[in-house]
Amino acid sequence: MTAPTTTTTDRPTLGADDYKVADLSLATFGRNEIRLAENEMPGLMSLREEFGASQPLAGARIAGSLHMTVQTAVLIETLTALGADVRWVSCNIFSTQDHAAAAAVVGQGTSEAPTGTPVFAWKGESLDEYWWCTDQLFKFADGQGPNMILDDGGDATLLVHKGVEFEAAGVVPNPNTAESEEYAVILKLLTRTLSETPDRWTKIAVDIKGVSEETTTGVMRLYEFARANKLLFPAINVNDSVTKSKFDNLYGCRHSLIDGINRAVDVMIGGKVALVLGYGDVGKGCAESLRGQGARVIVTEIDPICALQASMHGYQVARLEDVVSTADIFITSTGNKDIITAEDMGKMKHQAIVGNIGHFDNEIDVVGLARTPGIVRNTIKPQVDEWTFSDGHSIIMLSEGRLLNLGNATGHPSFVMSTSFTNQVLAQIELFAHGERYETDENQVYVLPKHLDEKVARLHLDALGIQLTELSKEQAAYIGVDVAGPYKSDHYRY
Amino acid sequence: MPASGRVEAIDRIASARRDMPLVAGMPSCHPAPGPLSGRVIAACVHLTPETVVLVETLRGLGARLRLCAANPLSTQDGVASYLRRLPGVEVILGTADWDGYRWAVEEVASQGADLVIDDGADLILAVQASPDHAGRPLLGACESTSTGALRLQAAQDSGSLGVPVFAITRSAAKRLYDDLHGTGQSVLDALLRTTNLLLAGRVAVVAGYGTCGRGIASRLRALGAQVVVTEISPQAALEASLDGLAVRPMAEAIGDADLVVTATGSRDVLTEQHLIRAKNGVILANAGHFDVEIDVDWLRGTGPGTAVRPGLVSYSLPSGQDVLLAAEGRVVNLAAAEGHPPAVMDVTFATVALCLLELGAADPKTSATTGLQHYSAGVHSVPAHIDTTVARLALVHAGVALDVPTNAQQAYLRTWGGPVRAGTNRDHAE
Repeated sequence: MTAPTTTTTDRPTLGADDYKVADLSLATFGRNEIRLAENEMPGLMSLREEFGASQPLAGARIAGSLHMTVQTAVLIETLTALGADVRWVSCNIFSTQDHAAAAAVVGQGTSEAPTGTPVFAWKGESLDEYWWCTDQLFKFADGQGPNMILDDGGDATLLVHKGVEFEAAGVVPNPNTAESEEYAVILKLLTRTLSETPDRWTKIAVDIKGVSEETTTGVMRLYEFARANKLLFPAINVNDSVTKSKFDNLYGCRHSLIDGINRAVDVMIGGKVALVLGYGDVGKGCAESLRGQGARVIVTEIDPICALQASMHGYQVARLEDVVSTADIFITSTGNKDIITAEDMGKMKHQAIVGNIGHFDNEIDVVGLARTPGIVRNTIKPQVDEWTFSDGHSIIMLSEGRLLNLGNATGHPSFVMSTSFTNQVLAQIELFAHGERYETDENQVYVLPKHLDEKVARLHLDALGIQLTELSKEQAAYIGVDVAGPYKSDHYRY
Repeated sequence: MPASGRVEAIDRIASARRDMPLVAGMPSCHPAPGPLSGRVIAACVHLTPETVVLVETLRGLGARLRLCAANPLSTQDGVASYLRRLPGVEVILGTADWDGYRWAVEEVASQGADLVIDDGADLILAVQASPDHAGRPLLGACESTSTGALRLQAAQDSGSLGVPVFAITRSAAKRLYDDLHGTGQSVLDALLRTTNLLLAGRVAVVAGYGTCGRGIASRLRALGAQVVVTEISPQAALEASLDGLAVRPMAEAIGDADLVVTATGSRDVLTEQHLIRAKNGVILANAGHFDVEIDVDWLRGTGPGTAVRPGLVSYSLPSGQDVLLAAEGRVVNLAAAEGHPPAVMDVTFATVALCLLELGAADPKTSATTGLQHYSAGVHSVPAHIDTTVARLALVHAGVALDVPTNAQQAYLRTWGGPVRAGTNRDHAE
């Protein structure tokens, strides 16, 4: 790493090894969009105001792995405004907005002398590049590692946990035995670090005070670690804040699913049959937006409660195999794997559109599709591929089966990301500045306390002109709550 | 007449007057003696409280009226006797059968009329046929029903319709208020009253995606039903499809249906060939005007049926299923609920009154009447400017303000030809 040189701004100029993005000259465009987004992210901007002076994150070294978008740039700059030192990567190879990454790196400086945040992310990374980037998260100045992780999908957390596990074992499994191409890349990386610094991850893990996790998939990993008593530091499950999953997952996907489909293929959605696989919060948002465009939506579910909900919302609930040849649009939103197989895609209508909005790319078997004998891939444009089967019929795959709302469009809109990210910042403050609240013998996964969840919502009311009714003391006493909240019990479902 | 009957009628008329501000408020817009002063209107109408409000308004606009009843069964005695006491109103009632109806129509027609309000076209044709029109050449008429409009169209095609007739069903107001929202809401009301069925999660088949079908389908979906449409018209089927609804043939759809509502205006929509494929427990209801959409005779032929709730009879089919028929297959919103709310009749009758003014009011500049000058003999849709006026009145009474185009905006729109929004009724439809 080159030695930082001081410029006229109060932040040091980043050296050439301190970042890797597509093109720093995009920074002006990125900064303009960040400026617009700031107005749409009232929660984050309120936190800058509230905590700017007290600097609760001073001393925090945050390793952030979360889609490097314009909205994320506002999150990053909120964390730094609260005193944190931050390094950042995307948690998906396609989700980086290169202009946002450039602006985050340039910060208040210039393309020639950037003074912003070390970001390692560009749209269209290879898997090797992706994990190289993730590795850069753990290289703070003076040989230090991070003391906090802000994760989305759990890749940064996973790398630390796997690193520690293999260091304890003294050996990394042979990459050739990996169950997936991606895991092989991880094993290769850890093989290298083990040979270079045999206790690298163990030392890093000791320093880490906690992780705040953004999404359902990452949360599932954390609970698995916790159940096995293998969680190395406390975690806050941001995903299950009401102001995250009931907003980001539902309203965010409602907005960005349609945006992604339209930008990718621009087909008329009205009159089409759309199959939404999975009717959790994300699936609910997807179904609503597709119906809003006039599609006839069919839902698949494994969970009787969600299936009944879909039915009560007026959707047909069917099995994939029964409608695979009649639907025009397929959207996976399960958080599970092997949802649409290559064989399924072989039975689809000509030019059926197939996309995934779940976090990982294992919901649709793109690898199996590529292995289908006689299949031909024709890239229409980036992130839109037509795969033609030997019988002449084709399907249109969006973002190679990776989450299409980020791959084909720009992800969730700023406002909804403000609700999510305000939770993230509050979780980082909780874990870093009030770590004692989360210290137990065995590390656990927590959710933010209800009053903070309500606070996140409250910070977004003014921007929408929402007038809240206040409880009288008598009314508050009658339902047994404080006038200032929290208003609901922890298990209330909204 | 028992005193109580008339008191009740007076209350109901007062209530209708309150609920029909468009019609009731019309006379106040015209100075006495009124634009219909000296005109005689012959009317074949349902003698209901809402009709009284229309009659009072036409009186207020200066006309005299001679009335007969469109349907003896719909005549409400208290209403008839109330009307008889109004100055300038004659009510001619025959016996409560077909002969009595014909006699009353002929009796009204024999005196001639300047204008006619009709319900089924009998009176218009009778007035036209009466020798020398009793010295009053007929200026024009309004026909309230689709069936009547079809008969008049046939008369026109054979060259025997001599006056302009406005088909009241062919108006934006009718489509919007009556079919889409009036029928939509009242059919739902009737379904809930007769079946008390939780609609969420059920498969509801709507036969026919005309304006009525659309109103019904949108309400069923809003309550969580999975709506399937059956259609014969490619345009309507496409519209249903683009609205996100499944469109299937009835023979297929019936097998999944928990509920079928017919709204086609046709006949034999649900017959034996469909019903034998029905799911056990399916509920059938008809929202069309006549009771020929569901083959009720065939159902009755399967056995006596069991009344399971008021207005709901279960038939056991030879194929093993039970099929539940609402309101004997008669138009369900009228037979099992209260039909259209008064606001719907307000808009319909406001359209009638404005059409009569269009046909029969003296032009203040020329003293000539406008009817035959502007409208050829034949069946006409309600003119767009009347639709616009009705909508404007409805907005005023609803307290809804709208923007007014500037002169520059109006000129801009005219550069593409024609005045602002001068197009067809379709411009103003839903």
